[in-house]
Amino acid sequence: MRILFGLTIVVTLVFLASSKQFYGIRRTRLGAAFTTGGWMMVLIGLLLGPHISALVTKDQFYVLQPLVYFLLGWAGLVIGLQIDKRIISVIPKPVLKLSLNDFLPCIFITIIGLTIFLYYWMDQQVYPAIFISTVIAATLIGWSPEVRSLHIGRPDQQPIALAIRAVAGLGSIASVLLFGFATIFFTASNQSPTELTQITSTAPLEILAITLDSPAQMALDFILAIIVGIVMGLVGYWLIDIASNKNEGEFLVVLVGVVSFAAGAAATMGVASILVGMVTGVVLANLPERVLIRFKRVLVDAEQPVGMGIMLSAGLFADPLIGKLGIAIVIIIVLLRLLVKRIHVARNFKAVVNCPVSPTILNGLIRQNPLAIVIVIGFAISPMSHANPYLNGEQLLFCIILVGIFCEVWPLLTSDQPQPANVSSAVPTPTTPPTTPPASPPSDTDTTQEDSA
Amino acid sequence: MKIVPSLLLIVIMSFLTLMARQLDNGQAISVMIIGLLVMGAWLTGRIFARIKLPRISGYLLFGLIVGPSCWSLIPKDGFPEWIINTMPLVSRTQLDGLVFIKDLAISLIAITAGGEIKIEWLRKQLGTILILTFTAILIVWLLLSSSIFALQHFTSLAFLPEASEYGILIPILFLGLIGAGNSPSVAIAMITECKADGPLSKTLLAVTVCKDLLLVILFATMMAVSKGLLDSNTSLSGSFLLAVGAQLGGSILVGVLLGLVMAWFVSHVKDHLVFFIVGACFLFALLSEQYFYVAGHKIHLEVLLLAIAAGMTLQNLTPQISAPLFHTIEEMSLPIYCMFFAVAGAELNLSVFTSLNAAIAIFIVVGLRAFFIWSTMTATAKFLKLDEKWRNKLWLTFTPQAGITLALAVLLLSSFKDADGNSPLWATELHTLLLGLVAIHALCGPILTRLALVWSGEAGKAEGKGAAHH
Repeated sequence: MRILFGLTIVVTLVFLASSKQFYGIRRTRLGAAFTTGGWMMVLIGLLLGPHISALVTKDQFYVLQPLVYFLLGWAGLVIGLQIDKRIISVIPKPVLKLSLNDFLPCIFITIIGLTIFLYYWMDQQVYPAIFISTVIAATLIGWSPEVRSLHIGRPDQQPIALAIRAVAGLGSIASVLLFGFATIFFTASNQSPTELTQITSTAPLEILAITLDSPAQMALDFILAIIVGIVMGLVGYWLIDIASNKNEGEFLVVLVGVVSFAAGAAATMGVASILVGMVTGVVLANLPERVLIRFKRVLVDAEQPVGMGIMLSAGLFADPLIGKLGIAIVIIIVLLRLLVKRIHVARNFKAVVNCPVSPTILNGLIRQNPLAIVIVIGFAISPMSHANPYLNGEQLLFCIILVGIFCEVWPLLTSDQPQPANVSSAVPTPTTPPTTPPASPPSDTDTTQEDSA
Repeated sequence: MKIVPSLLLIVIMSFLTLMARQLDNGQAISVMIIGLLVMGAWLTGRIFARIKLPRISGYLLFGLIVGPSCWSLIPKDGFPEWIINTMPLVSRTQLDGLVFIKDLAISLIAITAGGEIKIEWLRKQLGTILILTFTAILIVWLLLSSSIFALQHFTSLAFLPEASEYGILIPILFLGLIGAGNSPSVAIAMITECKADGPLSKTLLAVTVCKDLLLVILFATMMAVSKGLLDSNTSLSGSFLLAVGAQLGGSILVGVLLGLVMAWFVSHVKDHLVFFIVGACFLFALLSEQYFYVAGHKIHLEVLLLAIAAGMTLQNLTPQISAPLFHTIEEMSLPIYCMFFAVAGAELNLSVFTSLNAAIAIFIVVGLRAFFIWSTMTATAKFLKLDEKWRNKLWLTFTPQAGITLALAVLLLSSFKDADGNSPLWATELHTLLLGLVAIHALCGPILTRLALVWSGEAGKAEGKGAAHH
């Protein structure tokens, strides 16, 4: 009966998705925001997951966990492939400054402020509070790279699109680095997360002594992670070179093999798979390009299914029973996004782009980077996920999902722009695949096509 | 093709995996092993292709080397303790954890197989297919069982112990029946790898699928009869036939329905095909794990039949609409094939050959099986007046054995357990014999199949099978 219920859900959703009425809904701005953000896949995952239909139980999902590590590694690889030294070197200084204007407040306000809030007002223990705050900080950095729904179409608005994408791209890198460091920092100790939670519950400042007690271990973990990433990058390059140009399946083999090996090695060492994946991608991006041209096409083709897989995993994993603590966290994150991006960063944004910026565009800066979901999935499958008995990784994932949906919808609801007569430029047509959130920006359809060119 | 660097890379990756095994983080090491299996199998396959051997044999061999069986045969003296404690690279537990890969692969392979079978061609060749199928199963079963029985009875060779008061008959009949089967996955994979097209390939595919159907029916019948005879608590009843019919018929019916749903999806949604295919394959696997009760018997849907029926429905009812789907399946199949056959290789058990008696028995059965397959298939093909160009090579294509034989062997072992959970001696010995058969036929079968496809001139004739070339 359970499986029939789940099947009914899937078939109904597919039927609805292909109906004319749904195409009409997708063509509205709200509908487009919901479907192009990959939120439909999250919804399907929630419906199929252990908390609703239980078509996919927790045990079954545990079996699929290697797939999740792989998806995280892939996300990291795609981000790393964007870090081409030729592109990084031409980013204007004002854009870099704008990025710092966003990143630094996100990191410091969140880690310090949220930890204090969780410790003093929500009775959380120090160790899990700091870690959750750091993970949330990583999700706060940057914003969504998607620009079509912001109606940036005029030629004189191109600097706005470029600035949004550039900061989003740099934000992805910063998020991965922060999350990667946090994973290394908080697991360097030989004691388990549960033990550390107990120790720091009675002596909060003990966290500093414990984590700083093992700098050699932290350094070793970090160096090993970088070495694994570099080696896999070089190996991947050589394998792509020997793969047949006539058979794209061979590129897929290399991709699957390299990403799995790197992600698995990272996870085995207790390091974030997404970090090692990113290092692998950086190495590949900065080697001679002639070998990588066809390979990148395979990567681009695979981006959408992988993105959908990530969002489906998020829905399957997420635990909607977030309680009062979860709701508080959702509200705090939304307020932080509004405060830092809409108010603080928006002021500097206008100066950077040096052209009129509509409120719609500024409101769009609060939209969450899809990478946030990936980061929290990484947290949810890590040993630290259950260190906090009041808010575990699966619940935090649901919180981030709620934040993502709110931040996607809010700019549309508060926009003062009328519905454009021709919505085709902003909303995918029925024959055009909706852009699911890619693992890393800049990766919406416009940018993908530009990169391919 | 850089053979030495490829081998060096395989060794380095294996060493790194070995180091990581010491940290062994459960699911984390499984991801690394997936990477090792994919890359290692692919590189080994390329080396094999260079020496004109099937790539699939390379995948299987790589899996065998890194799997638990090979390590168990190596003397441990001289190895450091940390290696002894860490090896094998891919343990039994990890193989069990990779079951979702097998499920995905079997569904993918079976959809591809179904997509190759055109109803129009099948209608014309139905008589030939049915005669070949019955010969390949029934006659070979009869001949193999009789010869083993004769050898056991009239010589000092002891293949199997007796099973209760019914003597040696039941174990030998099981051996003959399972021995008559061959692997659909290897058949499909070899046709795809060799880009083969022609009457031999089509006949191989159709007969293998029909043989699989017949094998399941006969095996279920044998199981029911044997349990009725050997277990005093179980009575012989004809209701099992109804259950078997429901299992097979239900699998085909559900497969057809799913095929229609898939065709509708492709025609209406047109996109996200990769994701859709992966989801469909997992759905097939999920459905096959569900159990139903028919006439008091526990049955489940057969994943192979589900997927073949779906593939046939897509190809024959909606060929234009389904073309992009099959093209996408071809493009994504290579990493799945690498992993699947590497896992299959890792599951092979060479330790059965450590006993001289068992080894001799296995090789005798291998020889008898090959002889009977050759004689019956060649004679039948001649009787049916099939084209001389390929009729003498047909028998070679029925030699591979892999997953289905292993699955039936395991099912046999688990079905006759007593109240304490112990299997009778005859079931254990039969299981050992079958493992040995699979080990040899899995490694040698693809080579013989490739020879048949090349000698018949069908290799390389398929159109549009670019990306599926391994």
